[in-house]
Amino acid sequence: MIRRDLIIGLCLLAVAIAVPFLLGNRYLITQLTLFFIWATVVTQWNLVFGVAGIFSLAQMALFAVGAYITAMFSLYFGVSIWIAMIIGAVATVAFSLLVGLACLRLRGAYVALLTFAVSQAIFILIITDVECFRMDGTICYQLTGGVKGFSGFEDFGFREALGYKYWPIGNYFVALVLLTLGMIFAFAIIRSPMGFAFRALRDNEGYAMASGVSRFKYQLLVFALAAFFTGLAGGVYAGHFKVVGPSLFSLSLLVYLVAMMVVGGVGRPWGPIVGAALLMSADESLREFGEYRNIGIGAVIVLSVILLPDGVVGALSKWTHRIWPSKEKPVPD
Amino acid sequence: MSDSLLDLEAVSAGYAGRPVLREISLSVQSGLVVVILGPNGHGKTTLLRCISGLVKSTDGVIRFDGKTLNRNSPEQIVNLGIAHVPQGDLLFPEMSVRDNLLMGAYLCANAEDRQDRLEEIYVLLPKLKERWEQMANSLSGGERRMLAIGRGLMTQGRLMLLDEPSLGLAPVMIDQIYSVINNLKAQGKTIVLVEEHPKRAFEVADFVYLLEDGRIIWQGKPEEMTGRKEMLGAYLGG
Amino acid sequence: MDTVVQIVVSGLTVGAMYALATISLSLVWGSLNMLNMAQGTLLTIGGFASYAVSANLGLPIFFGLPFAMIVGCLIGYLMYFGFVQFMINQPSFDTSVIIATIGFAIILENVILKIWGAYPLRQPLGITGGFFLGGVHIPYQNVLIVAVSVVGMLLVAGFVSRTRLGRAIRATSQNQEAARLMGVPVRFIFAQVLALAGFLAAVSGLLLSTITTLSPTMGYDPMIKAFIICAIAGLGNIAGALYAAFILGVLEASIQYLFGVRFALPTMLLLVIAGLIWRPAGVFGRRTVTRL
Repeated sequence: MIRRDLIIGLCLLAVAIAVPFLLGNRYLITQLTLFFIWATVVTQWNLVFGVAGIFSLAQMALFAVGAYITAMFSLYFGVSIWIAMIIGAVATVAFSLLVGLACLRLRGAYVALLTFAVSQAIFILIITDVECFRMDGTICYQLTGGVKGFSGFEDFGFREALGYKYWPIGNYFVALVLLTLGMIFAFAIIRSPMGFAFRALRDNEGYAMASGVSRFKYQLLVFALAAFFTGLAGGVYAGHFKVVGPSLFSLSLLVYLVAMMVVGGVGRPWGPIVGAALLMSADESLREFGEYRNIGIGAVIVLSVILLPDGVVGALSKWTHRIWPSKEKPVPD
Repeated sequence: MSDSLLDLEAVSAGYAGRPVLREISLSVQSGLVVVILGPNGHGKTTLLRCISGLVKSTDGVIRFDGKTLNRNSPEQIVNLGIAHVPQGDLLFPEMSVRDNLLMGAYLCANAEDRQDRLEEIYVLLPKLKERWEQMANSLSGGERRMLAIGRGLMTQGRLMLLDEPSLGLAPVMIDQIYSVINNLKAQGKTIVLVEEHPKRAFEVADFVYLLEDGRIIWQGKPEEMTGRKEMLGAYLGG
Repeated sequence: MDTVVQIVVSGLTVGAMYALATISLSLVWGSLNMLNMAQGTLLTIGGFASYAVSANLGLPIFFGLPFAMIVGCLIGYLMYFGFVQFMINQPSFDTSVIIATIGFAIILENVILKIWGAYPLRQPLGITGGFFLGGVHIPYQNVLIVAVSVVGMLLVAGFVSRTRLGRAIRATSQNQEAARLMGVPVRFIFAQVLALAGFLAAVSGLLLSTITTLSPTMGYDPMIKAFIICAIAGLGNIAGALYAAFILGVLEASIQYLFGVRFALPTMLLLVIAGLIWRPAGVFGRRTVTRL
């Protein structure tokens, strides 16, 4: 199993490295950069939700916290964005620990409910931030940027280093490294004894608890570690787009990423990559139907959950097992 | 077999590929009490759940009052006249005794008829009338069993399935439960009774089936069984 | 003293609105084991349905309330027949349905957006004027809201405790298998529960829109508050949710007065989280024993 993952991973990585040099299309490169960022977030979300069984709806809030902290440290303290990103990721972990300690001992629906409420609470605090923290001439800037959002901080510095033509490639590789690290982490958890324990917990909670597996501790650990990469992704987002705003908390963005997870296959290790690729391609090709975009994504989610409960990866996996029944027991891949 | 109310022909059933019932054939005549005995875990409860539709049979035919039952849902089967008093009572814990009983008469659309039925049950089981307002989960074990049986009677089904009515009760309560069952027998009710320990069941039984490992290994009148010492040893231990 | 009266009045008003939305949520959770993330959008559609009566259909404003009720029921049925019925037997139902309701919510929200636009609208249904209690001005609108809510709650309570269908709903949520053995058509019950939940949410949303403005995203904030109330009371505990709704309404009004509107939700959230750490089954809830 691990060997197959490694082969697939290395092939994809090789392709990803080659793309900017073979297809120099600037638009493609920036879209792929965004794809890497979203895929990272969804990979962590899939780990938290699909593998560890935590019904967290706060992942976008964690992403946003990482983005905002990165931006704020960069702007207010003049810290290099590279360091600010790490600070942002660590802050996200701290925040996730608070949320996790509060929620994770509770049953599934309560976790969903509370994480969603936390997300909304931060959103409200940001958009109702109206006090002027600093003035630039006559323009009022709030501490968190308020409704307008936050900008004016540093980026990764590739503009100076590589010049106008090639700087997107710099960001592209930063995002690719992010995704690679995030995926290595996710696979490490899934294929480890801890991952096995989570599957056992999911299938039979009583048995697992009786054999000494502490659901809460494991979940908290995964939740916090996944938060690191989610927050880091937020930092990369900030460095790439150079602006962060409350739209990161929007329901339509949350729904977009949830769709990626669901279409790919909840709990399936390669699901997020597949899901993100499919959703972003669909988004591209249906761009003319702009008004109906969100309706379309909502419909995709509802249909996926009904027709493809294991996502595309799950469906393909069932197919291939039918054609090539493998000797090993069908472990949910 | 033409006047049998319930007929099972070579019925098999199982859970997730694991067979539990293997080609069971039995019949229940109208007005009789048929007792199913056997060790725990050998399929007695599954048999009743198969008849009431909670478990679908994988093979064979179930006939009730001339109609074939195999594909029907529990809701439809109750409507046809089978009342199942399940193992463990399965009461509605946060509803009153009265509401639990009224639920038994759910299929009765007329409120007055429901009230009439309720009054009849109160006569048969006066303790329930005393406690009519109490929440089901605050009742004692024996009272719960009474309530479960009363609720089953409210359906006015022609066939009653009783799954281990003596389970978990003190001997005094078991006496009371069986006196109720005797009462029902005297009224001519058709009952399929499942018990693990047969002593009390023998007293009401008109016919006995022995279920072991998912198969009927013996059937006959209770007197015939007491004549066979070997079987006696295993089953009259309780 | 006047401020206290003021706070209590707005708190009770808001609490009354939350109460209906909370009952809706609690009912669906108790009966179907389903966390309805489309709750907020159901609230919103109630407000817009009422608006549509006069603005789009040209009927007298007074038809707004019954129309909102009908639309709420219909959307509830739509949810059941549209996706819930297909998912009921899936093993991962309680997670999948959360996702499905999120998808449904975004569809509904965008349909509202398409039809009425994003610009905030004014709900025409309502009465102006008020009276004075001591030194405090109490708008008739607030009294109306509390009155409608209380009547609504009494009707639901009566329905659930005295009618055959209401009993069947309670029975199904307490023991589904036993309900089937009584002949209860469980799927039909689920559809009725969702319709009832839609009805309650729509009325709640309509009342809410008379105090705030009508916009496609107006439902999220009340939905979160309803979530919090349910979390405090224990999901499925309808009576507890009622008390919690009014307490929280007054609490929110107090916090808004003391610290400002923006801190209401975060403070309530912190309190709830603290409460849940202390009592994981909900402050009024009961520990449920999961039979394995």
